[in-house]
Amino acid sequence: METLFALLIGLLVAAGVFLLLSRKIVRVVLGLSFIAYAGNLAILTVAGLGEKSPPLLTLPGPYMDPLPQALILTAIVIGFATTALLLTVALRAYQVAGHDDVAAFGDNLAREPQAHDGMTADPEHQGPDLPDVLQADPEDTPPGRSG
Amino acid sequence: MTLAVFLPFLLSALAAWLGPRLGRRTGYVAALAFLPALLLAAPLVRQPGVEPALEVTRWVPDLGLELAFRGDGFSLLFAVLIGVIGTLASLYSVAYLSEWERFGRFYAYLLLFGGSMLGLVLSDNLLALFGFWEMTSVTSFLLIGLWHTRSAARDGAVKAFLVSALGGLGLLAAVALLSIAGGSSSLSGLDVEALRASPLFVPALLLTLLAAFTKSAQLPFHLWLPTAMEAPTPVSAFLHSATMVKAGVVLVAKLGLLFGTSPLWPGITVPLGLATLVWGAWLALRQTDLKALLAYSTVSQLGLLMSLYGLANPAGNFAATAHLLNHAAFKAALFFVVGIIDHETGTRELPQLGGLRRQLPVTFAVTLLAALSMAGLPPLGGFVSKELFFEAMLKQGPAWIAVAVLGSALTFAYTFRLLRVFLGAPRAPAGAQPHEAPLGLTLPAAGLAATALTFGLLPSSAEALTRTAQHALNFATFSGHLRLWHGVTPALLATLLTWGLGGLLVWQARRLESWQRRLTPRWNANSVYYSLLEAVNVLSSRLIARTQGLALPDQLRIMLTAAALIAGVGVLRAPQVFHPIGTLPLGVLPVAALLVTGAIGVLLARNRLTAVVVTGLTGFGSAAAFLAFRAPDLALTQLLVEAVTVILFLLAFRYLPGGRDLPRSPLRYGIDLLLAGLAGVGATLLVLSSVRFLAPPISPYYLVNSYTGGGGKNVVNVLLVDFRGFDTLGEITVVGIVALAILSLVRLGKRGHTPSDRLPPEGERP
Repeated sequence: METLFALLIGLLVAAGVFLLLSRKIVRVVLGLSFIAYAGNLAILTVAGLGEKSPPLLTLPGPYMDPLPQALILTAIVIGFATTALLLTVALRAYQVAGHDDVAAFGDNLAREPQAHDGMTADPEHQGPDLPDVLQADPEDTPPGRSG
Repeated sequence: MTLAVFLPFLLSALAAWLGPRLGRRTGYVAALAFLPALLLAAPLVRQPGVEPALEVTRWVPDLGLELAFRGDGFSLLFAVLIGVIGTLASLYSVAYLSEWERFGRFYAYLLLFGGSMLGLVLSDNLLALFGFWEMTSVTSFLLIGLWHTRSAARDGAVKAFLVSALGGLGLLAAVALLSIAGGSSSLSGLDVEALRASPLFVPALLLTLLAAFTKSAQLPFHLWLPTAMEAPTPVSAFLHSATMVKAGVVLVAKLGLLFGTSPLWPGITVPLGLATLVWGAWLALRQTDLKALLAYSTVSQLGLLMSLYGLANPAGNFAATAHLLNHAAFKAALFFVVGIIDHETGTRELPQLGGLRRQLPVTFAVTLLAALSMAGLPPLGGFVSKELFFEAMLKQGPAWIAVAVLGSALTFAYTFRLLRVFLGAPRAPAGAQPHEAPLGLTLPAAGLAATALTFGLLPSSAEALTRTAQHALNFATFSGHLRLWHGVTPALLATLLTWGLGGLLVWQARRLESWQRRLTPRWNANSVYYSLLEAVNVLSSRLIARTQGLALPDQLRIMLTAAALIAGVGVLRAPQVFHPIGTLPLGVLPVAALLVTGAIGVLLARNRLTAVVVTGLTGFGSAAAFLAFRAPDLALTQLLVEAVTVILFLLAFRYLPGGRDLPRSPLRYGIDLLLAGLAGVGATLLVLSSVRFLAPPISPYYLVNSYTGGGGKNVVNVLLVDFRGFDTLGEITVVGIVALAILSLVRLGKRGHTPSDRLPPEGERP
């Protein structure tokens, strides 16, 4: 059974890494949550998968190992926080850069300014308040606000 | 001893506080810090034959790191030396420093340095020795760069630090090798026989020498010492005469007992020391700045000491220890004198000075004593120890004694160059009114010069001090004595030859100067240092431009590849345990199906909504797995989090463009597939190899104590809130910080609603 789960974890990690290397920023965030799932399952698997009782003292023993469960519980919450933060950063990056292509962020933006601009956004999925954001005349923007 | 080492550190903090309040008088407090070090002289008196005292303070016993101070004769002698020069330097600086100096910083650094130096010589623990060694590097960096507004001071400080830190790394490696091969982290506890038989012996030897040579400014590394004179003069006296630069010599002296049996040890130290002796003296002869002259003279004298200690035989150790004392006396005195001249005339340039003997008669007398000791003239200490040096070199062979005589003749010549300041017609820069310096400046120098004279007229006094080092440095049975008159010996003939040659050099000073100008090589250690520094700068900026200019996914690819290479080795070497799938309960199959569908589905999903839903599927799959493996709390949490995550994504999608992935180039696609596959296989193997790897588990403790200790029957909950409460507190903190970060990011986006103003307007883009 551990072998099966090891294979499943491998699959999840592979999917996560592949997503992590995507150019689309949302997929990067999704990739990270896949790796988080794999990590949680790995902790569980390493401690041994068995048919014992859950670690509730009201039930008769023998019990499962409670320590990995506590670790995973923390990991789930932290993983959620990470996902939320990354998602917000992705959102903000999109607002600042005007596109959601990870490969064009950072220095690339300066090097290939023509490659991707805000207009690459898929028009049918744009939120209601985005089009006017992106098409706003740079002259109209209040000065002195940094990204 | 422990007090002697730690009092300077304690008083350093006090001095930093007192500095702005007491001003220059902080120096008197600073001098107090060396009092326990001076008191160490008491055990020196009854030292011969007494077991060295050992004071151990436990620190990190698991690492073999403890503060062990061993007061053998040599260490104590050196500690007292540091104490004496440190006290004198503190007192001298009271009169020397100008009114607007930052006294707090100056004295704090000085005391930190003094404390590190005392720790270095007294330490018996190798790790602590290394720690103190590095602390002397850092504190000397601070001292040399004290006047950090001057670029020369900054350059000197950086140079000193880079060179001695290089050696420090060598020492760290050497210490590690020594404690592995010798089976102990204590210097006196090393298993010498095992060490000598070990294959690590030669690398440890070479690394130790690297450390010693960089610290003691031996030949290729001598470049830092002359620029280190940018420090205030009291500091120079302290650094150059007694301490910092002699740390390397101390290392060679102490470890010579260990390594000396190998022919490699004297084979490297003696030629290099003699070469440094000659080359340093040759360079000293060329200087016009008095302090630079003294700095190169220090380089040269350190070469002499290094060659003597490098012999690692009783005669060498005896001569070296005697000369060490003499050198500390005359060199510190000379630095103090140069400070006086600088103070009185406002310049240290040789060509601008002359005939000062009339205005500064006392200073002249002090200088004469110290300088003649440096030149090795009777009846001064320098003469006595130079005789021993010649004797030791005579035993080595004719080539060695020839080099030694040449170096000494050059020493003779530059000493007279130094004395020219006082001779001839009176000359001083316009406006300077040289008159005798205040007592605070003259007394320390005079005291040291008197010591130099005592060592000469009463050689038995120096011999008594030198002999205290006998047990520590293995010359207990050495029969040599310090004497002014030995009769006509080969050493005396060599001395006469030195004087003749030196006199010739003085007589032909002008011709020599023109030779020197012609013989100056275009490449010297300094230019090599600067070109190396420049090359490193260029390399690093190119590397940054190449790597950090990459797109983020490309950087990630590089990192993943590196991680795969490193982790791959570990995974492949670990034992793999394959458990049969045969015992698979049917209940687990749907879980596996969910997970697989999620993973594959997300890769195939064209639509971002599909991708998120499919990711949710995997999340529910892992919740189901938790449920199947008896972790109800986890399943519940995971389900909750999963629901919130999906909502979060849907919320974000309102503001994000569509989900179709942007195309990757075929090459990158291939690389990505390969990396993802490797990561997957690696993760699988890693899990397999670590299944039940960590026997015996610590969890039974929690199961037993959950109810009695935490009062709860849900062990996982009790674990989180009671046994590992601080972990949970940290977790809550993380979540709180994330919430704040998200809040601020969202608000930042709300206010302006514009793409960055970092993007130039459409028309102006290049």
